[in-house]
Amino acid sequence: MIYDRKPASRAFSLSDLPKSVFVVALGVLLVMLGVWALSRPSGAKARLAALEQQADQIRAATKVRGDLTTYPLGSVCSGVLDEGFRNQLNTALAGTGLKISALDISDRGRAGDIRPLHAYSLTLKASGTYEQAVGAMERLAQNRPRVFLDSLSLRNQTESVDLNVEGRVFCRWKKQD
Amino acid sequence: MNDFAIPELSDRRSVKPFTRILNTPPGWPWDQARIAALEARHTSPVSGTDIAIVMRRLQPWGFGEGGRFVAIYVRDRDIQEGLKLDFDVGGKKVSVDIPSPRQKAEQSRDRLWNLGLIGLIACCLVGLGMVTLQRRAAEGERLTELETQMTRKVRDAEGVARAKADAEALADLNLDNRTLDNAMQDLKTISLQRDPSDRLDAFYWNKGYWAVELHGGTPPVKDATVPLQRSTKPVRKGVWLWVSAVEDGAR
Repeated sequence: MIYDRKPASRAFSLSDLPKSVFVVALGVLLVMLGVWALSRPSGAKARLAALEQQADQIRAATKVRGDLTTYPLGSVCSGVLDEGFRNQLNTALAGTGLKISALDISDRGRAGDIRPLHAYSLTLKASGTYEQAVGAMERLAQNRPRVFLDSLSLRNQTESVDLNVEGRVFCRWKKQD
Repeated sequence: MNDFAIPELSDRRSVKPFTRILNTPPGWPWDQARIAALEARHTSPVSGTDIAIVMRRLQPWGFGEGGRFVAIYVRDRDIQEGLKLDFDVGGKKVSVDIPSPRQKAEQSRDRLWNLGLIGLIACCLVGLGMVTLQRRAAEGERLTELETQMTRKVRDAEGVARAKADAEALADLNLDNRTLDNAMQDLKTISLQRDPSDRLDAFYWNKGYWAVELHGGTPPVKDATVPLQRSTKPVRKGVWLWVSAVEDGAR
C-alpha cells in the first residue's frame, strides 16, 4: 500500500488510555504515600517542633548580657548559704593550719535594685604564720561562691600574724526570700 | 469467535451436550462445588470413558443458601478445539466456554506469568517496606540523638545565661577588683619591691586601696607609676604609714 500523504494525526485524549494505566498509577501513588508515611518516625513533627523551640531558647540565652571574664561562672551561689557552708569553709581554712578565732556569716538580705542578689557578710579573724595566712587567703580566693572583699588587714605580731577579713558573698535572689 | 478463540457452535459440527441441574445443601462454596461434582460423576446419565463433565454454578453463592449447578456432559473429542455453548436452563440463558487442552495450557502459562509478576511486585513491596522501616528506625535514632544533644546545649546555654545575668547583677554592685586575688597581688608587689631591710608591720586593704605600716623611710614600692602618700608623722617610732593614692575610677 502506498500512502501519498501523511496520515491525519488524532488529538490525544485520556480516554484513549486503558483503565489499567489509571489503576497502576493510583497504586503507585498509594504505595508512595504509604512509604512516605512509614518513613517518618512516630511523632516526628512534634519532636522537630520541640527542637525548634529549644533552638530558640539557645538563641535567647546567648543574647543575655554579662561579663564572665570579670565575674566567672560560680561567682554567685544558686541556693542559700547555711550552717553547712560555714562549717565547710571553717574546715577548709583550718586545714591551712591557721588558728581561727571567728568565722561569721550573716544574712544581709537583698542587695541591688534592678537585678537583686541575696547578700551575706563574711567576717574572718584568725592568726598564725605568714605562710598560713597567705594559704588561707588563697583558699578564700578559690572559694565558690566567690568572696568579694571589703577590707583585709594583715598585722605582724612578734611570733605570728593576725588576719582579719571582711567580705561579702552573694546568692541568687529568690522571690520567696 | 469468543475470548478463547473457540469456534462458535454454528461454525462447527452440531454438538448437543447433555445437561443436568444439580442442587446442593447450604455450605461453603468449595464444599458445594465438590458435592455437585461428585453427584454429577456418580449419577452420570451417560456412560463411557471419553465423557468430560463441565460444572458451572448457576447462581452466586450465598451464606445459608443451597447451591445450584449445571453439569454439562460432553465427549472429549467435542472439546478438543474448545467449545462455546449457549443454552437455556429454567428460562435463564447460560453461556459456557469450554477451552481446548491447548488453550488450557496457555491459560495456565499466563496464570503462571501473572503469579510470577505478582510475586515479584510483592517482593519489591516487602523490600521497599523493610528499607523504609530501617530508614524510619535510623531517623528515629538520629532524632533521639539530636534531642539529647539539644537538651544538653539548652542546659549549658541556660547555665551560661544565668551566669551572665549574675555577672550583670554583680557589676551593678561595683564589685570589680574586689577579690582576694587583687589584695594578694598588691601584697605580693609590696613584698617584692620593698627594701628587704625595712620590716613590714601591717598590710591593709580596703575596697581596692591599700596601706602599709613600714619601718624605715623608703617607699614600699619602687614603681613610679604607683602614686603613694606617706603620713606626715610616724605612727610609731620609726614606723611610717604609706597609702596608695590611686585616682578615683582607676580601681
